[in-house]
Amino acid sequence: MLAALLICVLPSAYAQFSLAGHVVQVHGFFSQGFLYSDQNNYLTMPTSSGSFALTDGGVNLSTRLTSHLRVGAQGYVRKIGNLGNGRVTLDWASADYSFNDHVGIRAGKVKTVFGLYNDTQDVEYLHTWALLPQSLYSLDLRGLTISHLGVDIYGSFTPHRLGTFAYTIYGGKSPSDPTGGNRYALSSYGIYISQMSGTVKGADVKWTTPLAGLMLGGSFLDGPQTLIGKNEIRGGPFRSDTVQHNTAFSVQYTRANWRLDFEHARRQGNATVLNPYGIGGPPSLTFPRDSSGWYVSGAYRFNRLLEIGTYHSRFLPNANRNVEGENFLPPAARHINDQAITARFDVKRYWDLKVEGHFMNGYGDPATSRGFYPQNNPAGLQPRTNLLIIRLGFNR
Amino acid sequence: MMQRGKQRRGPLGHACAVLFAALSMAGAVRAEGLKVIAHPDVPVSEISAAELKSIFLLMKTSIKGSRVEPVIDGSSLRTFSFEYLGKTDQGLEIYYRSRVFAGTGSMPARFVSPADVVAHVARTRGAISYVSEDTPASGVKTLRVR
Repeated sequence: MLAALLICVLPSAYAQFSLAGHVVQVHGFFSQGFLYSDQNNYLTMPTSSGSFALTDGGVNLSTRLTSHLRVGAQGYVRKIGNLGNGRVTLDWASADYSFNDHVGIRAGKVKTVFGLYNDTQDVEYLHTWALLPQSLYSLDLRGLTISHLGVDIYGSFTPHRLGTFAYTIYGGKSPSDPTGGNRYALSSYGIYISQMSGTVKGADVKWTTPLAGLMLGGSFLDGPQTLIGKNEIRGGPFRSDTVQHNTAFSVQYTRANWRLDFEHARRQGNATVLNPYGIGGPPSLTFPRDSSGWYVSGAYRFNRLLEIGTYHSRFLPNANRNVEGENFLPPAARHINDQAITARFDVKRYWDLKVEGHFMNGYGDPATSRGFYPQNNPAGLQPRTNLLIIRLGFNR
Repeated sequence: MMQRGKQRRGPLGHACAVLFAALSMAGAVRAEGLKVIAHPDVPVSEISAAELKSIFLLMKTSIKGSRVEPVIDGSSLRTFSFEYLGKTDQGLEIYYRSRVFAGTGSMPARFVSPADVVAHVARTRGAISYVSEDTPASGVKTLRVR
């Protein structure tokens, strides 16, 4: 239903018109996927019997009001199995004032710059892959990191013969995602979140080096969060205060038709839960988290029609260490390794088709929320998953 | 004796045939002379290749305090993008769209005909573009690239 609606609406969504003397641009994107896996059901879909439940799309409008001021907004909708629920969200809506090349300010609901692709992860057309490496760009947790309500200060510097440094510094309120993987995972353990609030502050620097095609990046993000909810199996009402520090390091090399990426990200912090097990239980417990992920990818464009690529992605919940309360977990719960290979066909200027194979090992721990959920795999999660994805995308 | 013409292809054979057809479509980029043009009010007569790259990657929006904006000539984009920006034309398109969908930029004005590019640059303050060397460029200034 959502796919049919988007297919009908989006191809006619592109437009450019004048309003009160200002040129207004309208752009849109849409994608529809099919997933088939041999073992575990993936991303909350019944993929072991084949599933078309991967649909998303968005439309934006923007215009330049003065030579320094630009405004715009984008709506986004997705239904990925049980994630998203086809709920239309305001993806970003901002006013952007550029004082000069060195300093600008962007305020409103703003996409969060973190790593190479956090702010563009939704638009499959922009990437070689049908699924970005899930160790860094998890579809499940996308809603928690995609944007913030606040202010960005950005700009760039080009010191003599040192390339270009582009920076973004930001702060604001973090979004709540009631239909994301975090809440979905908790619900499988009888934990339901009624209220979620938090703040975010961070910075990102990308250095386009003097060496042609080489870019280095570093990102930092602090995002304390408070969850209020109910544990319906053990305890009752509870409150959780989470402290988390995220860092990412990125390398990108593009030369002629080649593109090579490497990224590493780490999330450290802890969650202090008040009244975790109700009457008779401890008044509070602190759960440490130290997860990390990395991937390396390579892609080559043969011609206007065909690009082929591969990546290897690894996610390590709690950095693959034993932590209190999780010692019982089997080895497959201590990592998710994913080897992917993709053929991307740009069948028309605004249409692309991707055929992608994933060969995955492991499924992560209960707090991982990356594709594998107990409620979708009632017979138990298996250590290995082979997955085929075919994804059709449109954007204009 | 096997009759090759009547040999039936399996699914793998079809996949290989599609892949081969796609690979054989690869074309070489033909180098051709381009000149960089600008609106007469742009306050320079020459521009560095690095500045030109920054302008077309939307990272530089002014020269000597004067606002500038890139204009795309679709007819020679492939050559310009490859030689001046180090990107394929598809890579540049993806770059622009990533800025549009992340809310950090707008799509530059784009024209298919070089004559339309010249006309747009001539009437738009701060506009900078490129056209093939043999394109008549009345009403605009030509910038030397150093």
